[in-house]
Amino acid sequence: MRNHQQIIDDLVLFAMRELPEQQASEMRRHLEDCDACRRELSEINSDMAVLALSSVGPTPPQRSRERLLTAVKAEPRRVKRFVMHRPWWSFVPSFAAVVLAIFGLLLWRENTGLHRRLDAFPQTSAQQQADLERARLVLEALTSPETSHFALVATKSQPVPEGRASYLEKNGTLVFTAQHLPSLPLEKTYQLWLIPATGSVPMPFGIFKPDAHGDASLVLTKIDREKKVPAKMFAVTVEPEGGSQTPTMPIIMASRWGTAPSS
Amino acid sequence: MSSATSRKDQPQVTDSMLISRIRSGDEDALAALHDRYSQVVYSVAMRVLGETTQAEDILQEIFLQLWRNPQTFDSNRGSLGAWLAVIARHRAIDYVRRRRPECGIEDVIVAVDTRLEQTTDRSMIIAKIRAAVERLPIEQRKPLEMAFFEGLTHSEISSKRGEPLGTVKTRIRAALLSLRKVLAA
Repeated sequence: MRNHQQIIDDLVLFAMRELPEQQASEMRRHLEDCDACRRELSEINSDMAVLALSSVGPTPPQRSRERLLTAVKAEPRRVKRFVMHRPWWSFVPSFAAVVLAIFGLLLWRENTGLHRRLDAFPQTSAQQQADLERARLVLEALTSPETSHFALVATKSQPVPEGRASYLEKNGTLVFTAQHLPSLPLEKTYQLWLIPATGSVPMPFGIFKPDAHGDASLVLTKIDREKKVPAKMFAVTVEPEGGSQTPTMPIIMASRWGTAPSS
Repeated sequence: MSSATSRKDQPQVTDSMLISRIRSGDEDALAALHDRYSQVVYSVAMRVLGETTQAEDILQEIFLQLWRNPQTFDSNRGSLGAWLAVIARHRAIDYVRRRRPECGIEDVIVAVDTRLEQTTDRSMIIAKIRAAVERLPIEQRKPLEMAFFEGLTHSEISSKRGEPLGTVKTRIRAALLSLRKVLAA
């Protein structure tokens, strides 16, 4: 590793381009970090410039100037740049122009958006008018006394079982009819239950089976004293042949007191 | 100098102004700089090469390079005339050594701030320098000129002159310091 003095001693060789490439590279790296050596190299270059100027004498032939200008004309055209050193405030008009341009651009965009919405307005308005007219017609069809109402059901759907129980507690009489009951296996039967208003356990009120049309009826008179209780509701379940003492879920039909479907 | 020189080499037009105009693509500005410094570049090349054709080639190369890359000269880093003189020497030495030109013009920083822009000043300064060089002791001036104008290495000079390498180095260094004092005075 060379010391600093050796490097300084080589500065003249470096300036005259006599150093081998490896040492010249080392010198360039050193110069990047050493201000003193950079200053000294600059001085040596100046010394060499003085020496070079001492040789000034012969004048080049006139053709050298013409040759240069001809070569310059053959060079690619350079875009002329006008370098002006201007005070800072001279940029204010340019800055203002840029701001105005940006502001103008924003206004133009907003204006364009408004125009677009305005152009679309008649179309939107017509659509809203059509929707309003349609709603008015629907309302009229639903509420007009001149409207005919029809109820439609699926033509092949199974009829829903329904029943009606008429219970007169004071006489101990019950009349129960049912329609649309599905037929049952032989070991099964329908059973009617009274659910007491007191909330006590359901009471069995008889078993029945529908005929071939799904109709069934059950009439009880002289009901036992212990069963003549206020009813909260009646229900029907499917039970084993002969009936049960407690209902088996699910409940096929059920109806609260006084809410039986009207015929 | 040509007649164009006297017409364009106006004192109030500085080198920096001409360089700025060259950056803008002004061919007249390049012509003005050529009028101002072609003698410097050509003379240095002639001194090294001793042959006019190659000297003209070097003159052409350097000013074309200045036209293509005017930004490589920074007026804050020294005199354009001094800078061109050093560049001309390096290019001519490359010719002598028959090697590819490797002197990037941006590589050279010249600290001297001598006014060479005006013809009268330039002539006076050059006369002063020439006198200073002639006053150098012959044992200093000769190895310096061998190294600078002939492109000989210090070892080659040592061998040719039969002097120790260290002595050659010392004398060249001393000669350069003497010249430094010329313009400082």
